Amino acid sequence: MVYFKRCKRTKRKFTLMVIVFSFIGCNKLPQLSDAYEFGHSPEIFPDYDGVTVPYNIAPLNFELMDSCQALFVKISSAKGENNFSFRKKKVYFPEKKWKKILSENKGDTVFITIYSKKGDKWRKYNPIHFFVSKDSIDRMLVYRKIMPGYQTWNTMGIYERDLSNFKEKLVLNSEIMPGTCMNCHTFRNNEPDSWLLHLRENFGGTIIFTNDNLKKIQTKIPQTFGSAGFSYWHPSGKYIAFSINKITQIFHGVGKVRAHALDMKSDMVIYDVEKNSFFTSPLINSPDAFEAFPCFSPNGKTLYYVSSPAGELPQDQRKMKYSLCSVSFDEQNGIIGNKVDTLISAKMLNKSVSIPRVSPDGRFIMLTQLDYGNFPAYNPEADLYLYDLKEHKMRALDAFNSNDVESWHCWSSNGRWVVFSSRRRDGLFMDVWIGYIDQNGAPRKPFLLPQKDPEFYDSFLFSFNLPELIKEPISVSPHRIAKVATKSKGQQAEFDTSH
Amino acid sequence: MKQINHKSENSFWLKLCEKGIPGIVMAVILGVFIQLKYQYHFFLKEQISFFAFDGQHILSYLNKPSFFSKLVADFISQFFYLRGTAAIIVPLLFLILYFSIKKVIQNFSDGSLGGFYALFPTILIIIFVFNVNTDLTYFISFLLMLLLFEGYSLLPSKWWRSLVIFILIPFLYAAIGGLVSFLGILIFIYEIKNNSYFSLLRRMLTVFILIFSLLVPLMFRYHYAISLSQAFLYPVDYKLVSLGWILAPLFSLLIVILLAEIEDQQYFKLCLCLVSVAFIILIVFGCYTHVNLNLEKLLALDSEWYFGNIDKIYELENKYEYKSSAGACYCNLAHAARGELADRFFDVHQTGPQGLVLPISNKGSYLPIIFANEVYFYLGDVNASQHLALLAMIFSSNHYSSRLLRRLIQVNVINEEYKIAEKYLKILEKTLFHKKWAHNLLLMLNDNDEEKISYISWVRDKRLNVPTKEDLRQTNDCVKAFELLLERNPENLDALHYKLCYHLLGKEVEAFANTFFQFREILLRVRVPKLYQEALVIYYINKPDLELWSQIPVKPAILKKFIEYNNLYVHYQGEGRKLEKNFKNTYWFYYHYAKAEKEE
Repeated sequence: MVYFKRCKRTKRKFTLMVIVFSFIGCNKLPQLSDAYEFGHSPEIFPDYDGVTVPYNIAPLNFELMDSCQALFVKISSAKGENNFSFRKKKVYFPEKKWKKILSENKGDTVFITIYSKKGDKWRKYNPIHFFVSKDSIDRMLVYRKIMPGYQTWNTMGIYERDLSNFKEKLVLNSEIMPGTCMNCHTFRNNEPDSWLLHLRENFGGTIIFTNDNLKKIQTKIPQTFGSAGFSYWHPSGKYIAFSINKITQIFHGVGKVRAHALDMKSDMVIYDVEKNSFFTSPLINSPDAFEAFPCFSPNGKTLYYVSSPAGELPQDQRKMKYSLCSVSFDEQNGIIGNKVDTLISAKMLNKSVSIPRVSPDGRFIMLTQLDYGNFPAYNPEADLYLYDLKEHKMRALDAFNSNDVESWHCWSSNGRWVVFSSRRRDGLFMDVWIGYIDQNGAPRKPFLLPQKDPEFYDSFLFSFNLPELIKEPISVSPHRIAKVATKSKGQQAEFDTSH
Repeated sequence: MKQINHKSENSFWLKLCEKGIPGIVMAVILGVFIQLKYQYHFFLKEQISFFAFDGQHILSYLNKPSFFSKLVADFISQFFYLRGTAAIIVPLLFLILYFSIKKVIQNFSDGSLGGFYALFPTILIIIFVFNVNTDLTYFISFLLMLLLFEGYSLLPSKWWRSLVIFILIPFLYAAIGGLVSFLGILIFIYEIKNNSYFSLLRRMLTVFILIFSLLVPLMFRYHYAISLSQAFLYPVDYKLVSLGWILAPLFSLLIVILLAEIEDQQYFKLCLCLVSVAFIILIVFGCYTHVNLNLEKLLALDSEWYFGNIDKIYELENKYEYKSSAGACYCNLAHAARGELADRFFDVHQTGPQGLVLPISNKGSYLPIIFANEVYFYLGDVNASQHLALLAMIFSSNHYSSRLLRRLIQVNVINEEYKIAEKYLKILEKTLFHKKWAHNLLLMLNDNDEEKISYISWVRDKRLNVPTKEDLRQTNDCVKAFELLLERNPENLDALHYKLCYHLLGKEVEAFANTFFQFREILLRVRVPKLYQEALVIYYINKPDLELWSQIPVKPAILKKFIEYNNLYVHYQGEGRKLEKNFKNTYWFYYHYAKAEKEE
């Protein structure tokens, strides 16, 4: 009897050991010398072949699109080789090991050789590779997740994602603030110390965080036709440029363009954070033109924006073409210059440009070019372009562009990385893409925001809106924001005529 | 002798209660009621919920408290897809809950009427399930909470029993949500009741359990990023169901525990009577608040349309009197599917243009959005249907719906946007009851077999009608939608009749006549419906000189009847009631007297 019990115990121990070793043995090299060679590269999702990645990016987990029972993945570079085994066809790199591989290979190319097992046989694909840049990317990515249900706000949230791993943290969502639309989160110089976001419908207002102080303001003043919309912080943090837009949504009867956001009217104002007051100039607030999407230069001396002659919408929708303009700005006295320069003329281009964003070194402006209008989210032809402020030339960022929408771009603080939204995968859901751009403005093949589960995008029913890079996590909790937003109506902003 | 009879009656009643017969009888009644009168609410619960056998999907439940209750509830809800299963599952759940409550009551006292008392909280919570805005999650949470209490009471009465539950409270909050606080209260009462055996340590632990169970929602609300009220009420959405109804089953449980405790007291009978009367009033009021038989009739139309049973819709239409726009919308849709939209115009209680296509708003219920999506899809305006399907998914309580996913797949296959369709199909492929449909479609898409795809009946039919001319329109601009459909395919008779009837319901006779003239070649191929002739007569009176009249055959009998109507109208000085008898089913009468009904 005792012997029987011992046998049973030994058997249990043996089973346990088999289980443990089957896990530990994952990295054990299988017999690959006689693997059949396909002679072509593997098809993987997301496609990481030939991309450039920052050395502080989360593991590029992927899925082999061919069916197989097991995978053996060899990561090799000049610095050495690492082997990984996986059951089935999904590859999950251990975070620690991944970080080590990237930090050892800064400025170098890393090769991935995939062996897949079908039946008893191993098959080998041609290696794929990615380049590890010496330039890091800002740690946090802030975006809004919203169902692509056109313009509704019942279910949405703003989140921040740590790009060096897969952790995502809530900033604010519609569960804490029911019936509230939250949008246009904007940061000063990629810093989490000064930011703002708008709330619409329930608890409407603008939340501004600066000097560790959270406040809510009401931006609708008698001098403007609506509340403040698209925004951009002055590098000093003293001012915020806003466009005031009257946006309405209209639907397409047919085709891939399901809906369209029409900017029926727009003007621009500048907000003095300390004084809680707005000021403007007839040059950026003209009844004969629609001005939108402001952006300050890194030295704060120039204000860029897009402008189109006023029109009657929706009938003039396709005639609305926006030019890139600039006006000088005196930070000391808060004075807007008296001369507008047109950098890109929509008339000459016969296209429209929108969302100008100046690179941190002040040399380039990245913008979206589209056939008409200024709201590129629904224009499949919308592509990213780079305007060289030194040579005064504009060129397409072909490596970043696709046949579908590319827009809502944001520079990293070092100017080497750009995050942007694109509907390229299926034409409906907006995803975040990350691309490298060198000091001469040359882009390299971008990659899809990595997720822990490579199948994440297969069942994820939200779009990622307005990706913004920041250096560190936001220090304010969702409940603190919600408290400020719900407890008070907000301070009423004034209009300052002295400017 | 009388006394003996009375005693034997009493013991018989006690035996019935002891064996749980009242609960079993109630469960049978419940099953019969659902099968005969309330099954469509449960079809809807399946249609707007979603359960997939997928790791990522299952892990997503962890994002909010009561993950386990929600998971179990969604798992069970998927079976409502099958006809008749709700009438089995719900009574079964009722019985499990009933016997759990009975056991809990017995745990507190040896009262002999536990089987009777247990009915009250069970009925109160099952009524909750009948509400269109709730799913099974609260029910499951309640049941799990009772089972946990039962498990606790079965543990040996040692000091570590309290410690175990104390440690488990945060995990239990994650699993069953805010009801963990109530579990703490139950355990506290239970332990206090048995306090003669307590040491100081155990007394302290019992108090800690109570305090901790009340504090846990507060502590975890930051982790889950939910509001204070949500933290205590999860999994119930207090915006959809009033707080009173959420708390009613909890208080009722405490009351019946107390009642069982005082069975030996002299004033027990009086208390029992009072409590029973109070419960009966509460239950009646609960039925009135949560059990919506009018909506059930409407959901019957909706589900039968979803299942493709036009005959059944005709049957329902004859059986019930639908007076709402949503009812009219489905009756008109069924008539259109049979090519009888105009001919059976007055068989429907018409409520105006909204009885053809329900107007959309982002305020209020998601149901009209689902209903309108069906109309647009039927007519071929798949882009509008897609828009509404997405909207309905956003506004529905779960934001994930098997039915709407199916619709999105159909729209994207018709539009040849196979990548999006594939995404939705892969999700649906992991469900129990939609996987076969999704799998077959996915195989076709993967094979890139365009010929096979275009032979699917709904793809073939809709592709003929999908607008091809690019144009812009507002959400509720139905006329523009009809125009785009007719521009694409003038032979789209459904769109044509919808446009004509839409104008008629809106009393836009000129717009109707212009549409009629524009498409007269198509319309004159067959007999012109009486409704259209009656409307044309009105236009004829106003514009008799048009050359087109020579081509439009209006029966002399109709013209004669119109003259008669006009004479009587003048004679009675426009008093509608006197005209109703002979002219109720004429367009002229509708034109003069119809008013949009109040919505149900």
